[in-house]
Amino acid sequence: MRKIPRLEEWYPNFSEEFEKTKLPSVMERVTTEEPPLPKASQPRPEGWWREYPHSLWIVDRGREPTAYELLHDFIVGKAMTSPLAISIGSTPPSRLILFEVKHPTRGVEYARIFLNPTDVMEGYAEEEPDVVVRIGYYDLVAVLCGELPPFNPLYEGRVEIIGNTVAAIDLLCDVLEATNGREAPPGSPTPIPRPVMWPLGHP
Amino acid sequence: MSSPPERKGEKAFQERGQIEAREREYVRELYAVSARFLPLERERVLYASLKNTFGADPFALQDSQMYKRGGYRQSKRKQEFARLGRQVAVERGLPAYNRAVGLPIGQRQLEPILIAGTNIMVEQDDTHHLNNVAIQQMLDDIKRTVIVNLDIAHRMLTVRAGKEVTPETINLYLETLQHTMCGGAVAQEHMSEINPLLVKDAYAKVITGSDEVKDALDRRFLIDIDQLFHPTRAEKLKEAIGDAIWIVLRIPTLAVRMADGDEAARWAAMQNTMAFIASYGLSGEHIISDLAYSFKHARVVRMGNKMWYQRMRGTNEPGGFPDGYICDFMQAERDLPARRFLEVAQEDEEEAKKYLRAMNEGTGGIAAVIDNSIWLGFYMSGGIGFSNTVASAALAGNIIESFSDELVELIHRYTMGVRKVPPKWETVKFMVNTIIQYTMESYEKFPTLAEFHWGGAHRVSVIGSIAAATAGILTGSSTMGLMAAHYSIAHVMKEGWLRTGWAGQEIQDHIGLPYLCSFRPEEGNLVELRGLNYPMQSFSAAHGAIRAAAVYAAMIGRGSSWCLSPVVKVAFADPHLVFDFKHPRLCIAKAGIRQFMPAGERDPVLPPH
Repeated sequence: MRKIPRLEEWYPNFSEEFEKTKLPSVMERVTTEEPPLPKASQPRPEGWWREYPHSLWIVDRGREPTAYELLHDFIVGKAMTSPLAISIGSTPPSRLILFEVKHPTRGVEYARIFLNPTDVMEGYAEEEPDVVVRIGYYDLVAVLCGELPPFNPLYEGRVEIIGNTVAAIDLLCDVLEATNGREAPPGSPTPIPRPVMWPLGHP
Repeated sequence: MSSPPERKGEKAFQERGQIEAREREYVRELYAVSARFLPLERERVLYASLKNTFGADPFALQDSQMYKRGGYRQSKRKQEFARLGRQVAVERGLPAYNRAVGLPIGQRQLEPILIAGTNIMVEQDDTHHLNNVAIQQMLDDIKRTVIVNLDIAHRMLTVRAGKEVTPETINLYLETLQHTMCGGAVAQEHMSEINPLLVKDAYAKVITGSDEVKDALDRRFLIDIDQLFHPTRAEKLKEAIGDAIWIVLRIPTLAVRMADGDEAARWAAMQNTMAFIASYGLSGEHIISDLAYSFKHARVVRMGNKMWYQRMRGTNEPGGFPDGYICDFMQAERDLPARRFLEVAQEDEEEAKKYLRAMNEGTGGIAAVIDNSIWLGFYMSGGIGFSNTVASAALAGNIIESFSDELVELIHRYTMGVRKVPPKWETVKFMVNTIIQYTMESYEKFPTLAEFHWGGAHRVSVIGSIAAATAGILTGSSTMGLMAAHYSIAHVMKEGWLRTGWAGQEIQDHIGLPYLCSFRPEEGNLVELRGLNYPMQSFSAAHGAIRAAAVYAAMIGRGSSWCLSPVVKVAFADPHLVFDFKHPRLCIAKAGIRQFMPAGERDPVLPPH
């Protein structure tokens, strides 16, 4: 049997080679940074509400609309013009939906929508709402304008919804999508595709 | 509350009292409204499945056949047991199984179980781990597995013994190893050898990530990653395993049945050393003792750790299986592309359902059985058969499938354009509330479902697994998945029903929540590294399956190919295994109708019988 050399002779640069075998640290491989805001959710330049097509439904008050005004204009100027949205909005039981909207400069604003019968009101609800939606102002704008799917900001972690899920689906998905002209795929039993678990009108 | 700015028409809104009165005006009789939707519920898979199980209307609030079902005689299996119990009593002169003592069972329906994913209907007793040989074989196949890295041994041979290691020598060693694993002698005369029919399930096979090494090896001894996994999965697994050569050693089933799981590493190390001695012509104590030492301790992957003193188990026993390994035993996703689930769900709903079904196959057929039947129902509490029924809740009736299909539909419908779901609690909470609200509503709408899942642990098993899967599969984080599961049980179930366990008992998931993110020793860990014996949470049945759902769903969510160890994942893809880890529920169903042949039988050395 041949003479066994010393470890240093076999691997003169052992410590350096060993270091190279290590993976980079977890902190270098994993980032906790949030992805950048999509373009539709970023703050908009002054006067954006006067631009087409927003000018079709937002009243120009000489300043950026408040959350209440935005929702009000949306219902009056946009949803009311969609027969499908009206039909869907009148199907579920009465729903009270409270919006807590955070504007980057104006702070938090409250507004609420009452579905079936339809109404838009300003301020915090005195009755317990079915659902509370905490949303950024420009996310709300993007959703109301139909630039983002209604649940998109929620699943990307920028919106919080507390309360009755089905009420959120009724308003956020069905009414908003119908208003923004989404059409049912061929063969769909409902005007806007609904999960089988909660058919349209389900409490 | 912000103060509204002054504007035109302010007066109209000053009549606030009148407007707010309208909110109170509408009393919402939601239960009455929900009754309108019962006809739609009849179209659900769940309805058909429960109707099939009970042979009655799943919405019925009363069982008109109560006390009229003929007691235990309604079950053919129990009739058989009563007859065999009498036979045993006569033969041995001692009373045995006797239906005349104890509670008169069978006043309610003894529901048969349709094993999900199959068309096989079995009785509850057929899923007991002592009656079901597939469950036994699943455990045996895990316990008899040890994985050893050969690079250290090869380095030792070249450096210490001056031997040359070539493809030819490795193939000779592998052929010799099959002989020694079956108890054949190679280095000494006068050794007792073993009847080959007793150990026909013992063998060893190689895993490598290198195409070059693979091409040089005898294909019979190879677990071929390229053949067994979808190319996208194979690519990731091969990259992770690299050029290393691992050998998967499977000792005979009979050996782990006679000793315990700790026998596996000892048998494997001994027979592996003997194969090296024979194929490389080794002698001399120092090299052999170093080889034996390395095969026992250096880069040896055992399937389970030792447990603390009170549990008194060696390695490779179920309480020590890390949850990540349990999920790597599961193989049902092997043919599916390794893609992020969110992308798949956004593109194609039907394709996404396949991923969830793969998860149900694994968590229902493997994790739930290991946790409920084997660990809690057998190792911990002796075998009374309660927690088997929790496992069969996960196995049975396409119930979880029904819920998970709805989950996919929900994700497909509402995540369009979502780039990445962040592991944030506010986001996850909404998703969990959504799906658990639906699951709990289903229990309320279907009284037969509540009858079928009669214990708290049964319902916890379903609700916790669905919650864990929801959060895990969307965020790719097993910690988020487990947080969702604990939250759904400790908060959503508690708030909705006030009781979480059976008969008003409480399942202690609120203990799991605060310790979830802890990494202090003996207090917390990554979910992948926890195990069935993890203390800082509820010890109720079902929690192993819930953790497995979190870990496996997170893997699917990230588009990974393994949860904790690529070599463990590949080792259980081996087609030579007796139990099929890709189709566990089919194996268990076949065993229920006596069509599954296990290993480890002693017939070759028994008198004719």
